[in-house]
Amino acid sequence: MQIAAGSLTRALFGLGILAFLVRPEWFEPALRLLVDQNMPVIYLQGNLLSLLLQHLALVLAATTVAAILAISAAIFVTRPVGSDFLPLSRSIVSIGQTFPPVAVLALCVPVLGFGNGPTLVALIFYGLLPIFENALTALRTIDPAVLEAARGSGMSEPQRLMRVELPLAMPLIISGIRLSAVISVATATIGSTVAAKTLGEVIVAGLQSYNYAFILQGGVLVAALALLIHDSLTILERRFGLRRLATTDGKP
Amino acid sequence: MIEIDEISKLYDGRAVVDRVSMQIPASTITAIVGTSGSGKTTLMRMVNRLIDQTSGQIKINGQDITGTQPHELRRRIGYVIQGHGLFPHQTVYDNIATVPRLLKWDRAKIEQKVRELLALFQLEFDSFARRYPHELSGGQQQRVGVARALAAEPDLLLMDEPFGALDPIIRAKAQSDLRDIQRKLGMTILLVTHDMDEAFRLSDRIAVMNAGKLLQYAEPRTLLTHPADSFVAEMVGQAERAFRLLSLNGIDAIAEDGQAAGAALPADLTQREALSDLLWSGRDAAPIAQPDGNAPRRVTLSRLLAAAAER
Ligand SMILES: Nc1ncnc2c1ncn2[C@@H]1O[C@H](COP(=O)(O)OP(=O)(O)OP(=O)(O)O)[C@@H](O)[C@H]1O
Ligand SMILES: [Mg+2]
Repeated sequence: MQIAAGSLTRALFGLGILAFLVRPEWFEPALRLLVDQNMPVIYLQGNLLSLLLQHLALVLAATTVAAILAISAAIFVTRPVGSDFLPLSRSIVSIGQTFPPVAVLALCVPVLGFGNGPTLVALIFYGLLPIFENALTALRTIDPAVLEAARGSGMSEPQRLMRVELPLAMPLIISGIRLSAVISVATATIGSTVAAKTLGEVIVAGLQSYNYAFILQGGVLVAALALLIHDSLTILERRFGLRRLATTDGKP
Repeated sequence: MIEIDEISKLYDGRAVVDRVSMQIPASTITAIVGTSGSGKTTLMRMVNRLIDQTSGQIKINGQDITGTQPHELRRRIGYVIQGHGLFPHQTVYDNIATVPRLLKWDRAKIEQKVRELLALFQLEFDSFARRYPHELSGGQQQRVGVARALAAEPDLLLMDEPFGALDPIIRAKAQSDLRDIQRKLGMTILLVTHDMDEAFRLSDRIAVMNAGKLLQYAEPRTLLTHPADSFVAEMVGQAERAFRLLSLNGIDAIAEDGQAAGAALPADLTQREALSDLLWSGRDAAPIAQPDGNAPRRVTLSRLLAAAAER
């Protein structure tokens, strides 16, 4: 019952967002209550839908790169050859997390100029830790008996990785990716301070002109995006994990 | 045939396996017994190169094992560990198909093999093939673990405490199933166990280890009648020696012609079981069930007692 009610709310919220993107004028009367008489109510400088898509694209690109880097690093440091690098890679990645994203942006602008570049770098930097940590935990906590069996049945090291270790680690890795992507959706908004094309633009415009309608629009769209990513990755994670993580009470 | 010649494994200069030599005849079951930490697992894992020996040589069917890539060697040797180590993300079918797939068998041949093995282990294909390990009981998981090890028809099966996690009743069944399967398929089995009864019930020969050294490698009877030293005697259980000896032989070996009163005993009983029955029923002799028309035969208490005192 609860789950059904939850998905119903989500669906209604999604429909509302969709309607807003396609027909913003429907929402004008409600939003007008938030602003002074002669202020604009709907953000029209850049098409909202296209801003949303650019925001999404930036997050997807950053998360993909962060995932590739973090997963490769986690694989490397869990192999015998790379085990010496485990402490080092851990500290590099946690530095990435303690560094404020604004500082990363500020440092990147002189090198990469204004636009999407610095934001992308900051997001990648920022997204590494959750994916790395999860991948590392997943790879290090596989039942030793399972690894022993894989070795004992004559799998080579790459075969062990591809057929046993990664599939078993996948649910936890995906939940790391999900966490990283959701953080990125929020973090990407500050990218608009260095002229990246994101929904942050709407919020910043609102802040500059005390236009609460703009702030609300930007905020709600960012939240919707975060929910969308969260939900789709949760579904993916379940697909990978459901059957074997199910408890024994499903026993036939 | 497996020839182990002066094999040693040193960790930090300490010999965990210390110049062990043994010749394991083909198509036999050998149990390795010994106290915890005596080097049983280490010795076994050197045979399929999960551990590299420090010195010495192991040959399987005349070939030095260091002449083959470790992972290729392992595909030809079945390996079963305690707690089975089934792949939790794969179905029973895929688990059993592991080594045949590594060996690139074609699909039809793999399916035929999986069907054959599930039938051998009394698991119905239609209801078990698509299940995941967590959907099986402990005993079923253990059987699938052995089936997986046998899938590529290895000549040699290594088993490290394969029944350690099973309860006594299921364990006894698994042991007799293994014995039957070994007779049927004829592979050589090297098995590590803590359970002395299991060693006696299953094996053709028993290897007793202590502190990395092989103290004695002989048939169960010889261990009982001529233990190499006091440690072996202690290990094989001096107190139970008489009963163990009786459990090694069937009653037909000491049966004699003649009548006896009371219920007949099945002909395939061990001497130990017969003794137990006679003591319990308070008889001096019991008839042995015979096919119709055969002369009556019996087993007597006095002959059982004589057999128990055999040197
Ligand atoms: N990688 C290793 N490094 C150092 N010592 C080891 C290593 N592996 C095993 N040992 C030691 O070697 C000895 C023998 O270990 P092994 O696992 O062969 O014993 P076992 O006879 O199988 O014992 P158990 O019955 O408890 O399984 C033990 O003292 C163990 O601590
Ligand atoms: Mg052991």
